Amino acid sequence: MRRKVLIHILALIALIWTVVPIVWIVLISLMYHHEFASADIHLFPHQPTLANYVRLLGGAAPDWNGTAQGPNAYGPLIREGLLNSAQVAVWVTVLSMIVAVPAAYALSRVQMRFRQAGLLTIVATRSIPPVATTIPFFALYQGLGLSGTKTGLVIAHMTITVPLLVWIGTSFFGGLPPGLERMARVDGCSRWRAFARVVVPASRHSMTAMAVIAFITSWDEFTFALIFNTGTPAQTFPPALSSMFFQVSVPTDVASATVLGLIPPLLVAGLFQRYIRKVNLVGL
Amino acid sequence: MVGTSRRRFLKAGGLAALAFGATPLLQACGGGDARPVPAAGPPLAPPSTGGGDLAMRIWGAYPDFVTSEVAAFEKTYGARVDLGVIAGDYPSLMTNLLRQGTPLDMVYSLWHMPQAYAEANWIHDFERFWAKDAATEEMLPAVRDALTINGKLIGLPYFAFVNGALFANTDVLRKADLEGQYPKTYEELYAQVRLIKRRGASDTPYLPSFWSAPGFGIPFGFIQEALNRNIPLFGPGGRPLFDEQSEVVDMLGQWRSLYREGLVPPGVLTFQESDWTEAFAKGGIAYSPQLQYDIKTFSDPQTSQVAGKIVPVPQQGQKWGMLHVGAYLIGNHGQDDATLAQAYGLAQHFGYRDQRTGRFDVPDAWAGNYYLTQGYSAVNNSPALAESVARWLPDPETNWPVLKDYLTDPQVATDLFHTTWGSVWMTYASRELPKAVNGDESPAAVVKKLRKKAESLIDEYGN
Amino acid sequence: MSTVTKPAPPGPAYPVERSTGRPRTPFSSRISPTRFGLLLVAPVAVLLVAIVIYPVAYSLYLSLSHTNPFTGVRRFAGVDNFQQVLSDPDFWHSTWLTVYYVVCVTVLASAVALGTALLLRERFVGRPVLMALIVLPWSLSTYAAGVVWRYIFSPQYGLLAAIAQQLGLPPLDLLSKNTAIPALALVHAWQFAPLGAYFLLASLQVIPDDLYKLAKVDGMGILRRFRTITRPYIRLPFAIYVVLVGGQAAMAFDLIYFLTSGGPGGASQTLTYAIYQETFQDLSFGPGAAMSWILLIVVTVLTAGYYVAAMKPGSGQDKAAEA
Repeated sequence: MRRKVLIHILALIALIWTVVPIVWIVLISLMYHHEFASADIHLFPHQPTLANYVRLLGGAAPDWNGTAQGPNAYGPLIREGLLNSAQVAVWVTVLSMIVAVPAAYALSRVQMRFRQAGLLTIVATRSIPPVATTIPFFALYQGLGLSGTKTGLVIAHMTITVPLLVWIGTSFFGGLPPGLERMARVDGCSRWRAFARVVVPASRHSMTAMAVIAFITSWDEFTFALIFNTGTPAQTFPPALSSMFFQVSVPTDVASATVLGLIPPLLVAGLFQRYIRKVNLVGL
Repeated sequence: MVGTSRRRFLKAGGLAALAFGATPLLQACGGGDARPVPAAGPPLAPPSTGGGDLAMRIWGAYPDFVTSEVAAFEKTYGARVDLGVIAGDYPSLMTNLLRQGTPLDMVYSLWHMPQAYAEANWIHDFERFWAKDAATEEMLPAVRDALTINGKLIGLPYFAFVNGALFANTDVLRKADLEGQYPKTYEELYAQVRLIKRRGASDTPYLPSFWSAPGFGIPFGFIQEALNRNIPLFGPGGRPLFDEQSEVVDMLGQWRSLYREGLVPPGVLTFQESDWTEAFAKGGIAYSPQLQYDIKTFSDPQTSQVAGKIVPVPQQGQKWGMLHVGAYLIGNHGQDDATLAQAYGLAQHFGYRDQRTGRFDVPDAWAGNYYLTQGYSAVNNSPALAESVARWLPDPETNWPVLKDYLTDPQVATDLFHTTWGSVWMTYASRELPKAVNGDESPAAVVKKLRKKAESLIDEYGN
Repeated sequence: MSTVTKPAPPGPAYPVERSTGRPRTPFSSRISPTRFGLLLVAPVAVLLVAIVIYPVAYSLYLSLSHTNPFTGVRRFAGVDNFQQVLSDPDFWHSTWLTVYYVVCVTVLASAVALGTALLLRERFVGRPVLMALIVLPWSLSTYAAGVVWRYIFSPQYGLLAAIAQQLGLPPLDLLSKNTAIPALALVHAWQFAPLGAYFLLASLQVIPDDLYKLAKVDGMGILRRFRTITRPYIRLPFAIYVVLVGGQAAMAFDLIYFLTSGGPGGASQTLTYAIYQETFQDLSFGPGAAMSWILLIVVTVLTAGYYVAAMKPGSGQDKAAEA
């Protein structure tokens, strides 16, 4: 009985720890700036409102005392940023899967040489901090006309997502029953068909998790997005938010912009969390 | 054989990498890619009509207003302008873009950056701008000097005001029974701040420029307070005049005391610009060097608890703050004269009298809508502005002259700002100065490092 | 270990087209397995060579030269940059901060992850809800986590200040010089622990309950039970999680950029942040690149060393269990 109570208390603490920071920024985003700026800090908005969101999305909304307030000046920046981020993240997801899934399969299930070495090399590229490669990258991109483009950012993001997916993918494929392809091959499939028709369908849940991780990783990436794309029409959400955050701006507006940017990854992660739970990295 | 195939594979990969990398490597970042010196020549004629693609980059202050003005320019002159807002650490990101030869036609800049840009030929000067003489004629002399590098005008003013102008919250002063008894010097200010705390009128009566941002915030706070106290920091060519015996050590010691005694808000060292404004607008702070364009924010009861309470502190002998100028610069990316003329046209639309109307359209709007004062006295003293200011300042008959007085004959940090390396030194200072404030290092040690940094930068870049 | 994460799908149940005695062997079956494998890996190899190896090699070139950022003039500098960096006390300060930060993040994240995983193994009201919710911090972008936690830490309007105010206490500045690193590490751990929790939970769930029951009958205490039953099952996944978190922490940038920008006064100027400052703010490309290389080498060596040390003993046993 004591144990039961203890576990429930711990569960409550875990819940608070997990969600309170997010709830707090949502609460701030629901406050009028007037209330936020008051001398005492309110834990809950006394006069909750969606006005900050409406104004960010380009509408007009009355302030706390009814005075009219026009659209938020940063609205276009944030909206374009969200759109660009979504496009980049989707492309990164699709292309990374196309590139990483066969490689992960080969490195985990094909009886090939250099398996371990290949996998280690690929995973090792993950220890290169993006900040360290931005200058050469930028030079390369200027030469190729890729800086300030979504294509360029997609490629840059793939340098991060592909090694990660290969790593995760090898663990997934490694977990499939050993005889899977052999049975298919006995049935007359080629190596490629055994992979495409048998292994891929058998691991679709795992591949969903990989895709989700690619999407979230791309949405999360900040350094490349800041250095390559800030101030260009291809600017994604993170630099747009950063521009709002670091300039003279109203915290309640920043909070609502942040929350808007949280929605896509939260939605994706929430929808597919039962697959993510299976992420396993014991593949090396 | 598998071995062979691996070798062949690696070889092919290496060749691919070379082919892929070598060209841009030499082109964009390789040795000796000094930018060609912009061609000199007779003044250009204003473009008559149409055409031209221009790229304009700004930081995120009122992007909606800039967007609407860009649209107006496009409509009137038939040009297309790609406007982009650069995030966060603007000076660093802009320097990177210019260094890499990104085709940018007009960009914002603070006035301590263009010396380096001009020496590197990353920007065009305004010597071929058709209205150069008329514009310089109308500029405030200090602003003109700030934007003149090696004898050439390098930009048109985006704004000009005094950074570090001191503001007071009359509410707190009344509570402390000190109404109208404004300090005349920093010594008096710090003494009064302690008195206010002792009298219980405020816990944290002073909000200084201690917040850290590269080339803004605390380095500006340091330079302007030294200027105001007449402590020599830099001589011609950026030669450092201070050392561990300098009075700046004592000044930093006073900062340390303010921080230790809790006279400044907690967390001030990691504030951002918005925190700094919000904190003052929340009330409870007696004095703070604030950005003057925030008087609008402070006077607005929607965003401020101190509406009608914020006044500028009159300068009585000692000055508060130093001149701060923003500029419109023209990037040099090998554009032809026609494009350059278009860019001048865009700069003129924003930074001088509009070519068609002959009026200060955009400058007047910046001043009148946001109290972002301009490099032209015609704008700063216009009757239209007086009307706006009356809405933002209590008792405008007294207070507006006080505010205007700041911009007449302000102190300037030209000796530092007109060096190639000034921004690098200030970035360094923005990391080192907080250490003296929070007691990580002694003021003398920090001052010594600041001097050493200036010396090594002179060694590296010359003076 | 990985077999345990999901039930094996019935292989042959999937429609497999029966080849009708085609005379030609398909290409993928004609070549050797190694070639087939290399073909599948080739796109990744091209990608990595072109856009990972190249920048890294280029940064090596930068680290061995002196560049004037304004004229673009570059000359060979030998190991000058490395010498300059290694003799700079600021570099060692940043190195120390990086180590401190990595240790804080790793300890906090592993503790939270393990605690959550152990908790989720129990039965309690609302377990599925908690199970679903803990994914939230992880799916949050790091920069967004920075903003979120700034609104927690701010002594002016933060949640902690609000709570302090309700209790009549003075606000606390958690981003001050002594607390900045632990505070940042806390945020990092908050964001990164959920992945570890899921990861460890998957391994915990395969431990037969009977083992615990037996142990209880034998009178083992909770710690002994953890040591003798739980630990062997989670040792490997835990080790890998630590590598992952440690590597992430060593490269943290956005969080620091948003929360403290390396401040106050360099108190959170870890190596990645210092590299950013050297490269982008100070335009010292040579020293910046030299620091990047030092960081790269250190991270790689530490990761590899840890990997070897943590995985070697008993990994054969795990593999056996897998098969």
